[in-house]
Amino acid sequence: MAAATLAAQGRPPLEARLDPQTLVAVRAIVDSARGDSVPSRVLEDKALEGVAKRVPAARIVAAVRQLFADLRDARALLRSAAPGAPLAEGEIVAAADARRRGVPAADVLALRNHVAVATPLAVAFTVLGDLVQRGVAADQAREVIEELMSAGVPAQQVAEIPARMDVGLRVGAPPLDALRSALPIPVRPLRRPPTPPKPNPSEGNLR
Amino acid sequence: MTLEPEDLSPEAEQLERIMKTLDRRPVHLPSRVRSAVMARVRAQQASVWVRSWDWLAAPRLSPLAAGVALAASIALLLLIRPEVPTGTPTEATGSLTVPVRLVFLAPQARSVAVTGDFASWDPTGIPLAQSQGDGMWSVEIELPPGLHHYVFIVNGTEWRPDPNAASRVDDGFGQQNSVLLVPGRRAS
Repeated sequence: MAAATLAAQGRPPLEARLDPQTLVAVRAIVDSARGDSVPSRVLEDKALEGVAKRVPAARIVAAVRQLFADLRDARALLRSAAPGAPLAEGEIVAAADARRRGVPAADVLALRNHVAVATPLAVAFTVLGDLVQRGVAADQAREVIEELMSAGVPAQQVAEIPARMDVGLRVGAPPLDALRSALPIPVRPLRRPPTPPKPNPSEGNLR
Repeated sequence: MTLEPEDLSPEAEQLERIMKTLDRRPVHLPSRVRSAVMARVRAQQASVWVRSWDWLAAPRLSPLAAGVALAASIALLLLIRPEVPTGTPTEATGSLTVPVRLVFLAPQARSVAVTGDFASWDPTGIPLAQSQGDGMWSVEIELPPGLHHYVFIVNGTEWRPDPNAASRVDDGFGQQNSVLLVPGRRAS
């Protein structure tokens, strides 16, 4: 297989792909994003995606505007947990992605507060969104991820959990059971409750 | 000559008579005797420290076997390099890329390509290739760590999400993108 490196791809300017009217609208949003320290490259990518998919210009602008709002909200959420701390672009994008996939803001914030300020969370936010999409309650999914992080489970193993969970889901396992089987280590939130002792049949006969 | 059971009857009867004459009453030692015996036992018992040292010093392995075991332990420790737990997922710097192989099954397709944010959403995409004509298309690309959205392009016009992707997200245009999470490499 030939390996294709991104170095040979190059990145075309927006002007090469967007019509002038759409370009003006998108540029305004991108400039606002830069002013707010919101990742702007992601917004440009969204515009390029719309063009590639032959989406009407108005819809492209609407999608870029919505994405800007999502990223800005995610940034504000993460900023509230760590004021003054630098935020990685990938982490903002991942948090916005998780929010779009149904993770409540409270759980994103709680996960951010659970770890040290300098801890990158792009993988954690992404997996959190994956688990919620697969039917795991957000707070339970968050607690699982928090415990995995506290236990020092490598990011690679955490990232593999959703795909491993699919194995159980395909055979009809409930989400929590599928998740339990997919974890690299047992975690407290998902430990099975102790089985109650079976009653002694002989005790019943003596009464 | 073998003895039949009936031949042993006289001896058995004699033995039984002897047993009956034995005094079967329990023996009670005077207390001073018991005390003296126990005092001597305690005097001969080594202290905890002496007993501990004796246990530690007691040879259990020959020197050669002990040396071999020690060398094997050291070799095992050197060979096994467990990942140092950092307590958090790690992500590499943006300058590192990770090789990723994308695969798409399309036996009837004339061409398959992949595009996404890593390809600036080029509508022609990065072409995949069939290795054995079995309908399995694949390509290996170098991606920076992080989240990547992508889709496959079949026959130049059909945009399809990756059925093997761990995640899908709404693209904001009424369609779905596949999501690829590329964890960072650990710095060596």
